[in-house]
Parts: sequence; structure tokens; C-alpha cells
Amino acid sequence: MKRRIAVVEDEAAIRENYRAVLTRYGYDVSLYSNRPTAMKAFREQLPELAIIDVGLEDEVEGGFELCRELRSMAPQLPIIFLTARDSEFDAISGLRLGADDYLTKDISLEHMVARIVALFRRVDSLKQSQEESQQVVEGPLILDLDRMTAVWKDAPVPLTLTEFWLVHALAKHPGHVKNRQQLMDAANVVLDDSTITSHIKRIRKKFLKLDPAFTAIETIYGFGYRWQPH
Amino acid sequence: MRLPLQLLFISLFMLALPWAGCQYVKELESALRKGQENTLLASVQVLAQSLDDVEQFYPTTAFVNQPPQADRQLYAYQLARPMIVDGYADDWVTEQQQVKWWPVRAGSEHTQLAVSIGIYQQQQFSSGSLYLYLNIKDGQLHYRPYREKRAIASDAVLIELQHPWGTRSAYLLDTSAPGLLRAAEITHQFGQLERIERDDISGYWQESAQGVAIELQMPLSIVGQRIAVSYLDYQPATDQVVMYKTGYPPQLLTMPELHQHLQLLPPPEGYLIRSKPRLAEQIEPYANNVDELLVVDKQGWLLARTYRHQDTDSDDFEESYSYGFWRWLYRLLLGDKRQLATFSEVESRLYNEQVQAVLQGKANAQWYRSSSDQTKVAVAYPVKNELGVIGAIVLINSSDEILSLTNSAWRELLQITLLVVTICVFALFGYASWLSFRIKRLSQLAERVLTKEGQLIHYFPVSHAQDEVGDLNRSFAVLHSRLMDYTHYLQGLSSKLAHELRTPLAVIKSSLDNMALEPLSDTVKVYQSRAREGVNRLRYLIEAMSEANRVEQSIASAEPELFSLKSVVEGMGLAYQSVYPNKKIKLDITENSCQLSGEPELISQMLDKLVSNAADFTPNDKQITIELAVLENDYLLTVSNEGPLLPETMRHQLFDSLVSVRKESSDKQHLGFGLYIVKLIVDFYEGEVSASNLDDLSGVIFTIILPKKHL
Repeated sequence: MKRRIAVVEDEAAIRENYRAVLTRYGYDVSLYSNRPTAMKAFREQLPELAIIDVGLEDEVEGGFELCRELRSMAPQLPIIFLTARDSEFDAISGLRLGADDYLTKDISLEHMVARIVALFRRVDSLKQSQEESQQVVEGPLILDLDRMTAVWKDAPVPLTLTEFWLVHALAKHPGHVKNRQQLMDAANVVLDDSTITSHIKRIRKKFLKLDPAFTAIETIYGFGYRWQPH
Repeated sequence: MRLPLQLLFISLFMLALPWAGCQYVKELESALRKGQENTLLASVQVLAQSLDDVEQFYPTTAFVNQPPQADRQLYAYQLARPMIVDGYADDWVTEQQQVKWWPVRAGSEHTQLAVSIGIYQQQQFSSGSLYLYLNIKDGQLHYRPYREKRAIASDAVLIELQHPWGTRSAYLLDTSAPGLLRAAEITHQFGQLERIERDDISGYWQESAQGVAIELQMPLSIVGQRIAVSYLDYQPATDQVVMYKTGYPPQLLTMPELHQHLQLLPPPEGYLIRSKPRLAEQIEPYANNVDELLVVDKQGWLLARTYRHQDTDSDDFEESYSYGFWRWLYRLLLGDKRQLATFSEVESRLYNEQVQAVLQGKANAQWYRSSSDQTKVAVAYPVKNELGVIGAIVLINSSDEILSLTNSAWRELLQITLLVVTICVFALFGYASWLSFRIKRLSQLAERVLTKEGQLIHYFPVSHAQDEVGDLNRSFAVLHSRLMDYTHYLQGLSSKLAHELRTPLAVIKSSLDNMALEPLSDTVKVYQSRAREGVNRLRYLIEAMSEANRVEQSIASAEPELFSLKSVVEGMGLAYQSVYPNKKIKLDITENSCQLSGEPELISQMLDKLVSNAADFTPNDKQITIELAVLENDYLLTVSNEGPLLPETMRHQLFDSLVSVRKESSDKQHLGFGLYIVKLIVDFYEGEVSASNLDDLSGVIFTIILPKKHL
């Protein structure tokens, strides 16, 4: 059975392009141009993944609102924000509302599809949690590559997909300095330096919240970042 | 000219106030003077009408119609005591302290005669004496030879007079030697002149340096109304006589002619004029109100005179003395330029222009300045009867009262207006200073609106004053806030633009991605790859445009941490060597770890921008120097490079957004955000950034000063 993806996007051309590429990859795509029509459809039937634009027609932050409503209806539903907005504040707001990833619209379609695939994989692996999975273990850090989950000192770390891939790229080769380009490639995103920096910061914060003594991610000024071997 | 000075200058116009006051006082004074004149005229008129008895003025009515020449009259002063007849003028001089002598004179160049006449009379009708003092200048005195038979054979004094009973006599006074002398009455019998010695007329002949002084005394009872005094200068060579008679030119007479004259003895033309006690009595009651009251006859001879009874109050005197200064100031300021005639205190005859005018029948008033610098008014009024003008009354009064009145008015006026003017000037000056202070402050504010770096200050204080300066301040504030808004709009424009461009970019990009999944011919693939290239460039541009905005956001959400500035700069510096392999990167970094509180990422971002900027301008194989030093309160970070110099004109705008001094030949896209981002970050650290050419003009240096205070 085809997986159903809902795209809520007010720009018709982008909408149609997404539909074209996603259909080509074998997904069932339904398109909505604004919040009310999307909500109406979601109440009848939930999609398996939602890609939401932040600004929806006359609602400047309609996407956030939609995300909140959708999350209340389906706590497990993967949601990706896809927006022209690239401000730090918007990204944080989106992720706080429970979105699984936050992408800017200039991401290439291939990368986007990779994200979608990865998200579905995480959802699937969560459902069949008993199975053996591929893991990376680095000291107290355990990364489950199937479920895309991270555990630090036995506590799960709530990382988004992008964050997960960044941590994975660093922790796979502890002690190696990864420059920003390498991290971007690993995360399948095109981001500028400052966005990488803010991602790293956010990752550190998430770890620090669990473990105030966390110092594993080291900044090498002028080069990049390094996972301190344990 | 400064504002306070301008107002001070304008306030000088207030000095017109005391000037106007002065004019008023002047008017007041002249009105008071006029009033005083009128009052005096009225009272003198009453007096004049009561004095129409011609007898009291003149010996005869004929005198009124045809008076003899004035200089032929002899005026007799009233003496206070009898004179000592000794030929010396000492006692006359004592009298002189009270009266000013006006002797009758006659003579030629060589010989001169001066006669002073005085009358001493104890009571009005008692017997008295007439005293004469003759001062004769004569180079050659001739005394009467001993046993001389002729009646006249020496220098002599001849007195002709008419007795009260009508007959006339001639008295000759000559002597053989200086000393006491006796008068001889000259009579004629049988064609011969006879000398009859007289006991009642005595005299004294006293030689003086110039000639002789003769003093003589005769009983008043023999003196009538007419008298003539002559000096006979005897010429022995020719036996002739030169007669010097008062009021006449010198006359050379032969002896027979003289004899003939003495035989005929015509009545002397001149009258003996003396003060009239009855007139004095009559005017006495009026004298209390005035300083001086004079009655003169038709020729101006003084007939009666009374003074006010002097009751000089010492207080008055002091007051008038202290008024002297104000008076002087008053004259100085108002230019009291009236040239007042000096009042000459003539004792025997008052015949100035005023008296002459009044004797024509015209009452008038005249102001004088006395010798003691007092202003006096003299009011003259003619005395008339049916014969016409027979004399005049002159009333003299000092204007002391008016003076003290106007002086006190003037003084108070001057004091008050000076006080007011002073207060006003100070108030105006203070007000102007305050105003100018406010305007100055406003102008300083306006100057400060743009900082040295060309940035707008964030806050412009708004005045609550309800006046024009306050309005101006508010206008400035509005202007400032509009400018702020506009600047913000400009600063945010690029990021807004970037945001708006992102959506169409996404459309193109997603379309291209979709296209790539379709089977395409090779030619189309070429176009597709070109389109992709273009899209990528566009994307970089948009990234650059929103970069500044993102830096602002990361500054806003920055969570400062303590880090080592040295390790950041060192690490970045080492990295740049591999990033820019064609340039020489030289690091000159202090050993100090340079602890700084803040966001290390911002420092590295700032360095990125500075070094990339430097690298773009540095020719290959040239050097870029990164230097970090510790100052007293700051850290000093400089990035200098060899290469072209900064254009002078762009120096101040260098750190503004969308300003670039690059030539278009560069391979990368530059929108001029790099240095703007540097500026944003330096501002976050509350530091300063400046760009200048190196001293040796080999290149450019960017200097950043970061305060340590975050520690």
C-alpha cells in the first residue's frame, strides 16, 4: 500500500512539483493550500506524514497552528516544516511544536525525499522495536541507525533528523575533526555555517539538559567540530 | 554675535527709559520755572504799581524827561561807619567787602582820576558826612608855592556843588605839601578870584606810587542834588590847566578861561545819586519772599535794595551740596546747555540788557547763573506813572526750591530706572543665556544623532517645553524616529527581499529537480545544468542577503560564555592558511589567553569576514597579518593586508550595509554585507572598529578594540 503524504503549501507551483516528485517515488500525495481545508481532510483521515509550510495564504503562521492541531490529533505523526523562512526563531518555534524536522525550501528534492524516507524508517522501526538494530556505540552514547534515536547514559535524547545525522557524523569517528561541509553532507542538507553552528548548539543543549557535565562535542575554531573520544 | 550678546545689546535700548525720564524732569523744571517767573511777575507788578511817586525816584521832574548823561552822575554809597580821613583807602576797602565799588573815572592816558563817594548818616534826618576818595594818577605833581598870591597855581581838586538852598559853590583843594589840607571856597570879587578857607571841609593829601590819593570829608548839610568833581593838572610852563572832570573829556584851559568858568559857575550837570531810604522802607515788606529786591531809576542807578533775612539752614545747605552730583549728572545727560548770563552783582548801577529792556516799558524775566554757580531768576517790571517809565523794580530769586524739587525727582527717577534697567538687563541676559543653552544643547543633540561611524543614535530625548525650542526639539525627534524607521527598513530590506525571493527560487529549483528525473536530450541537459548553475548563484546571493539578519538574530539570542579569544584567533588564523593558499598569513598573537565573555562563534564569523575581505584585496604571495594584543582595558585585534589603499570618500560608509568598494571583476558575489556584519558583531562586544591605510601606505589595516569588561 502506498504511503500517504499530505503537503500543505500555498504556492501552487511548488505544491505540484512536490506532488510530481513524491508520486514518482511511489507515495500517495494529497495537496492542500490552506489550513481549514487541510484540517477538514485530516479530521476525516490522517496522512502518514505531513509536510507543512509555515505561511499559509493569509495566515502568516498558519503552519504552526496546523502543526499544533495535528500533533494533538496524532502524537506519533511525522511532521516536516518546509518553509521559505530561515530564521532561527522560526526553526525553534517549529521544532518546539513537535515537528520532526525543519527544512528550508531551497533544499533539493532528492534531499527532501531522503528525509522522508528516513522519517518513515524511524516510524517503522519504532513500531517494531524488539528487532535487532544497527547501532553505533561511543562511550555512553548509543545511536540506533534504524530508529534514528540517540541515547546518552541510558536516557533518550530527543534529536531531530538533522541533528541525529550531525551527531552520527561526529560520533562515528571520535577524535576526528569534521568540518562544516562534511557535516552538511552527512546530514543531507545544504546549510550555511551559522546554521550548522546553531544546530550544534542545540544538540549540545539537548545533551546538557540530560547531563550538565556533557563536553563531548568540542569546537575546533577555524576547522569544525570533534567528538571527544571517551 | 552670540544670542546673549544680541539681547544684551538690544536691552541697551532700555536706556531710553531714563532718558525719557530726564526729558520729563526737564519739562517739569521748565514748567516750574515758568510758574516761578509768573508768580514773581505778579507780585512785582503789585509792588510796581504802588511806587509811582516820582519824587521818590528823582530830584526833579525834569530829570525824568531829560536826564543828564549817566557817567556824569555821581553815586554815593551808604557807608556803615564814618571814614578816617587820612588818605589811605584801608577803611574804604573794609567797606568794599560789603559793596562793590564802582568809581567814577575821568582822565587821559597820563593822568587819571577815580572818585568814590560815600555817605555816612546815622539816622535818616540827622546830620551826616559826605566822604570822597580820589585816586589820582599823575606823573608830575605840582604843589602850591609858599606865599603864592594867585588863586590857582598848583595841581588841585575842584568840587563844584549846588547847595540844598539853591546857591552854588566851588571848592578848591590844593596844598603846599602832603598832609592835612583844607578846602578853599573860590569866590570872585571885583574880577578877582578869592580863596576863603573853609573849616568844615577837611581832607588829606597822601602821595602814592602813581600820584596822589586824596580823601576828604564835608558835611552833608551843604551838599545839594548836583555835584561835579574835577582834577586840575597845573602846567607851570604855560600857566595852563588841564581839567579832568568826571563824565567829560579832558579840557585844556588857560587861566582866564578857568577864571571865567569859576566866575560863572554853571550848575553841575551831574546829580549826586544816593539810595532812597523811604523807597527801601516801602519795599521792605516784600523782601521776605525773595532773595533780593532792587529799585533802579531810569538810568539803572540803584535806589533801594533789600535782602531776604538770611536764615540759612545748615541742612538745606548739605542737601543742596549732595545734590551737586545728581545735578552734574543731570546736566551731563540732558545737556543743559543753556548759557546763562553771569549775574554781576553791581552795587551802584544795574544797566544790563534786561534792565534796558524793562526801562523801555517791557516787563521780563531772565535766568542767570551767579558767581557761586546758583541759578537765579531776575524778574524786572517797569514803574510807570503819567510821565512814562520812571524806573524799574528788579526782583531776584534763586531757583533753589525748583532745583531741590527737580533734583529729588530726578534723583529718584534715575535711581528707580537704573534699578529697573539693571534688573531687566540681567533678566534678559539670564533668559537669553538659558535660551541659548537650550538651543546649544539641541544643536549638540542634533550633531550627535549621527555617530562618527555614521550610525544613528538609538534614543533622542524629547523635550516637554511648550515653546518653539521645544517644538524644534520635537521636530528633530520626529525626524530622528522617521530616519530610524527608514534605516531599519533599509537594514531589513535585504533579508525581507531574500525571504520573498526564496519562494520563486524554490519553484525553479523543484522544477529543475523534477526535470532531472525525466528523460532529457543532451542539449536540454546542457541548458538544465546552466539553469541549475544560475539557481545556485541566486541561492548564494539570497544567503548572503539574509546573513546579516541571521547574525542579528544570533546576537539577539546569544548566551554569553567565557572563552579564550587567543585560541579562537589562533585556530582561525591557522585555518586561513589552508583556505587561502596563495596568500601569506602571518599571525602575531599575544601569549595572554585573553579571556572574553561572549559568543566565540561571532568572533570567528567576524574574523572570517575580515580575512576574506583582506584576501580579496591582497595580491597573490602578499601578506595578511592578524595581530592580537592586550591593552590596559581592551583587547586589540587587527587585520592588515598589503594591497590597494582605501578610497578616501568611502571611509565612513565602509561599515554600512550594501556598501562595497570592490571592483566588479571579483569572481565571488559581494553585496557589501561583510563589513556590516563585522560592525554588528563589534557592536555586540561594545567595541570599536575602524579602517585606515597603513602608515607606510603599503596596504590597509582594520583595527578592532574589544573591551575586557565582559569579564
